[in-house]
Amino acid sequence: MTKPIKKNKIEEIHELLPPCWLRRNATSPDSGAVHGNIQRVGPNGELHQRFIETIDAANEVVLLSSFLLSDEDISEAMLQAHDRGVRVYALTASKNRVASLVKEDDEFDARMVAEHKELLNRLVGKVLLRSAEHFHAKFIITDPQSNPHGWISTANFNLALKKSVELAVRLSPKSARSLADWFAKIFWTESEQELVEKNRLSEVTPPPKIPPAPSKSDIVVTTQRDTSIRSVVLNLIENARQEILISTYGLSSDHPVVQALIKKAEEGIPVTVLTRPRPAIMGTVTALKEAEIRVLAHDKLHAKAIYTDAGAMVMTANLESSGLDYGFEVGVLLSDQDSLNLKDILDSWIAEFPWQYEPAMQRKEHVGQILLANSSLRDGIREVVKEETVLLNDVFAEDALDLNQAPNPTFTEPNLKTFPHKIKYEWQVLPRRLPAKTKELKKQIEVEDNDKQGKKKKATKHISYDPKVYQDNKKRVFVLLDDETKLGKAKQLAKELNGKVVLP
Amino acid sequence: MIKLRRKVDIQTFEVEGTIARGQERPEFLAVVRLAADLGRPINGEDVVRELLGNLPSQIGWRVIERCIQLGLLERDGNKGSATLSDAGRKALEEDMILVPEEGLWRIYFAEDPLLDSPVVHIERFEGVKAYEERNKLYNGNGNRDTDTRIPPQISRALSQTEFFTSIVNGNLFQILELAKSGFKAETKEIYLLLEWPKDGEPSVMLRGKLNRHVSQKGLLEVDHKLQLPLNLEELSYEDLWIKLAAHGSGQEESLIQRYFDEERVLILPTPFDRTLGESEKLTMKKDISVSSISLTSYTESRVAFWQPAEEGKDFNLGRFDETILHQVDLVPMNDDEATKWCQWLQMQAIKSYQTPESLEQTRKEVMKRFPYHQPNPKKSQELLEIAMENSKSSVSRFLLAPYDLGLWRD
Repeated sequence: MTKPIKKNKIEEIHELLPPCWLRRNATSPDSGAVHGNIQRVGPNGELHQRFIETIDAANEVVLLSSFLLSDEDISEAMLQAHDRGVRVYALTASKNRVASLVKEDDEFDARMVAEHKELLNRLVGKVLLRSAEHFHAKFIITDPQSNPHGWISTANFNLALKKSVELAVRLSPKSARSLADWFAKIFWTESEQELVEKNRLSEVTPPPKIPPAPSKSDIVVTTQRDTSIRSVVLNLIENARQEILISTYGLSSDHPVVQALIKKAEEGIPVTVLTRPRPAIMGTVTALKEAEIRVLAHDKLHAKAIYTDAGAMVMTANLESSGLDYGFEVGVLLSDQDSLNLKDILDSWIAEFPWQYEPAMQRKEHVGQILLANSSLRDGIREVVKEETVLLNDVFAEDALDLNQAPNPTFTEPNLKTFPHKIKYEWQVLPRRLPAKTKELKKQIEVEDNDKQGKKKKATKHISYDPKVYQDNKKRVFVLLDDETKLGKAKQLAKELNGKVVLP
Repeated sequence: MIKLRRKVDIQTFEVEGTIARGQERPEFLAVVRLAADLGRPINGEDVVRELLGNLPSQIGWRVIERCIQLGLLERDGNKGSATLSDAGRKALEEDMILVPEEGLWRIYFAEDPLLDSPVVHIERFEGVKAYEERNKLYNGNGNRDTDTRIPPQISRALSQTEFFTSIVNGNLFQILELAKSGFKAETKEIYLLLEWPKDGEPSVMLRGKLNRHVSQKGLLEVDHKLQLPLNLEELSYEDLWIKLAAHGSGQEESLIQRYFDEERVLILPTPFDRTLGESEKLTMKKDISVSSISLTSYTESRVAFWQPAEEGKDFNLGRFDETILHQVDLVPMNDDEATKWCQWLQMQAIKSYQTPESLEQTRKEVMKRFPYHQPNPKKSQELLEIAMENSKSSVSRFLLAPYDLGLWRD
């Protein structure tokens, strides 16, 4: 009767999950498969290898553009090309722009920026390199005048070529030549600085002549005077009748292209957006979901592509102003066959991508990992579990003989690292112990006693109760049960004295 | 500008004597001017009437007597009117009166073919004690010392010239009488400079500083323009330039002369080789060092070197120190060299990105620098081929980048 008893309470959590990415698959690297003219990155650096081969095969000229440039092998291939008499030209983002990314985007870290700078120093005098704040395009063209080859890549020429989820499109000779024209135009008219010696870029002077307009082809661009990528993307969205699949690293809800996607989804056209789960896009993906657009993500996605039943394109631009309204970006419209190839790739990503965005989901609809939408992958992973047990502090019953009458503890929602469907609170009820600072309460009895003369007289005497009884300064009475055999006496005594039975 | 110079030794001789020095004496100049204006002998009444107001005529006569004493006026006999003398005319020219002074003098003299007279300046000095100076001049015992005879340069000058001009202050002076002996003092160097601007007149200057007598403080500043020798005036700047350029460069004079005769230009034909520095090749100009030379001008207006002057026919300008002809215009020796030079300049002009049009413009500009030859500069395509062959050269990129990146296409 005086032994502690265990109690519990199960509480269902009706609160929604916070905006988050639900884990639907394990995160795994993309395949290195080739789909027609489209090459995926591959776990063994297949895309990286294609680029090296392309540079190695150049006989006259290499034109290379990359926002970042820190891949050792690519730079070595460029230097070897120079050594065999090939003229090598490069466009990259300005040092200041690259440096600013460390603060803006967790995709980039200080080491990457340092490697970029170090590589530029190695290229001095061998590669004619120009830069500008807004250069973001990634591509390689070789021998554009005699034997054009080329790739448009969504990957920067750094670790992304081996680790990210990217796409590259092998260009036709005509497209390669047209893209070379764009390279020339940007080199002469939009560059800001030229690498002249180690750690020194000098301001670019105006060209001796305005370069000719690039030839028309399936190449589209964003430049300071041209926004044909934006026009094409809008056009593809507008003309889609069955399905829209888009892959993009960055996207901004207030951009007309994203607005067009939302509008299309609201008209009932199924839209799927593939992206990378980052806090920066939380607002936008929430808006997409509100329009019932499916939003999936991969930890390493960086590819930019659009497929609709009206056409398809792989590009370097994100769905935001810096890619579609200004900056230097390139894209290639795909042939019918390559459009289907792109759809195959995007469909496989849709099936395999690990994350699905849900801005307000019932907890009981998901069990497993989530990524908080306002956190990075590094510190935003949480678990949704069916039940979480919370151990509460012991509760002391007022009366050691009536533990069940003890009041319940307070059920405050604990600070959990998981998101449980329900919480099981567990606690123990313990019999009360004799409080400190109590004095024994004795009973007063009258006894007969002999006085000095031997006469009997009545006297008062204080003796202990059995079991003993104590009283605190608030006059509360406690019957001390120090022997289980005295349970009945204690109970009786507590009743008589309006006290509580307690344990020692 | 041609600049020639040499050192001139100015010697000094200290002697007792009477020397008339130019002084600004307006009262006597007024009398002299009166005599010149009237053009006839003047008398005391003339002086009083024209210059002294209502003073008695005797005062006018006293003035005339004083002017005669100063040599400004002269007359036959001891009394009567007086007329303007040569010294008076000279005084009017110089606006100064030569006033004789007796005392101790330091006479500065020099020998140089471009000096009008060896005597170039006189300074009167007061001895620390007059008798000490006299003793010094007369060797202490009044006996004449052979070493203290008047130097022959001074004697010769006195026999040839009546009036001298000081190189220190330009003032006129006249040595009237000198003791037979004196004291040879120190010698000091100053410079004689012959300067001839290309489109101007030549000038000959003396510049430097002279010491004064020990009893006097400071130095005498010399910055004096000499009268041009007559024969030098007949010479042309070009004649002298050609001689100096040929002498300095080792180039045949006739070759330089031919360019002048045919093209009326002063230029130096030069081999396009290692003897030329990069900046000389670029500017087509060079400083030519000319070693020490003696110049003799002939009456037919030519200048020759290393030749002794012939009596009566030549005029010796003397030997000058080494000098430099600054920024002499260079031309190639022939068309082949002009081609090499021209092509070198074309390459040097490539300092920024080039198109066929800009290269053609450069070609034309470089061609203009060879007006006397027919060089064969590189065409833009040829320059591109050179760049292709040397694609790793830092200059090549200025052609290859525009070619590779669309600027060479129409």
